[in-house]
Amino acid sequence: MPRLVAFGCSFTQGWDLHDQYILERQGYYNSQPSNFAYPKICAKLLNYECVNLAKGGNSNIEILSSILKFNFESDDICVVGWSFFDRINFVKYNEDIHNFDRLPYHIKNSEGLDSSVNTDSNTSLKNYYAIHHAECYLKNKNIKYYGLKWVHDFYTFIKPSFLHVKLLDFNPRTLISDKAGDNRHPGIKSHKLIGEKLCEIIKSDLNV
Amino acid sequence: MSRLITFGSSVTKGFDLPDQWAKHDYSNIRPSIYAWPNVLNNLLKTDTLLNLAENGENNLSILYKVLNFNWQEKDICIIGWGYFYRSETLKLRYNVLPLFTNTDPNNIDVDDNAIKNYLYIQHTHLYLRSINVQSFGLKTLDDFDRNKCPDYIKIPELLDDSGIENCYVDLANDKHHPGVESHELYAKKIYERIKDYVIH
Repeated sequence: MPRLVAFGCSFTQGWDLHDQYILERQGYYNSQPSNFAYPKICAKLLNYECVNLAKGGNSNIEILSSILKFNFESDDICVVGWSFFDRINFVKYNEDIHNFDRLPYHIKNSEGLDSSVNTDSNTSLKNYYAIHHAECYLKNKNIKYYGLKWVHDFYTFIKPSFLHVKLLDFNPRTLISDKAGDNRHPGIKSHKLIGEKLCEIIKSDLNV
Repeated sequence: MSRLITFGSSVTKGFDLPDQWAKHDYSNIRPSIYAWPNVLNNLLKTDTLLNLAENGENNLSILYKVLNFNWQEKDICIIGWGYFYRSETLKLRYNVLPLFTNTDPNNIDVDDNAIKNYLYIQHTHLYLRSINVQSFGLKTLDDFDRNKCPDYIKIPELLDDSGIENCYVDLANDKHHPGVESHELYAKKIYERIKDYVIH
């Protein structure tokens, strides 16, 4: 069975959806991607196996790193729910690329808040470089790729004109109609809507 | 028409070789005709050479320039990758070249910076491959020996044993950069490495 491989942050993981709450009671708080998250919905509709590698708190450089490390197969479809832009300033690029004092607790002491360096312009470019890098990588591997802009940052930060990235417009204002258990992340209905919309796009692309 | 396009720093530009030494104003000076790209251009018999190297160039700026260059079919791109620490002293800006900041090079996290540089290098070559431009990366300077590339960042275009250090047989006028004969030797070394792969 071909695979739909998803990367992203808590949105793509399906943070605090119903099955994650159950896990929480068992002591595995939000450790697994949710069965109600949009990648699973979309994969099911396409009759694909779902491999959801999204992780809460991921920045776009960590998403890029996960993509570079993943062992793709030729018929995989790659879906990326790109993350919030500020996070890239809090990441240390070590061998595994892990988060550097995740938001918001250590903001004041973090080198990431050097306002003379981390301007909006700088932050935007770093993120778009990561996205463009991933796109070039997947294109060279002939992997079908769908990148989702569904965090507000894509609509507030200016995109550098020289970087041509292929991103699908999944504006959260129009697609998020309910909330997850934390009352912040998208709820089950929203994920269903996003999964179905993504499935339609992929189907029309694949001519099926 | 085939074009050889080169990027890099002072070594690739041919710093302080005889035709540069006389000028004393390095800001607007053209790349040296004695620099390795010119020698290599003659060996490869490409129609045109565009040596876009700049003194003090860094790897992040090279990525930016490659992304903004108007590539043509049959172009061959060769990049003499530069010192890793220089990229860390940069600030990115929208649609313009990165700007230098006051970051102290001595305070740079070496491991962190090395991975960033390898990502810039991979990004550059992936982009060129994605637009069907043949490219080769040279580990021109010795930062590559000091900083290992993580296994997951694969860059097949980056040639092993492509540093200039073993080609130093003479020096430029500043007594630091490679001289005319060293450039010639380096160009021949690069030519031997790539001649069987170049398509033009």
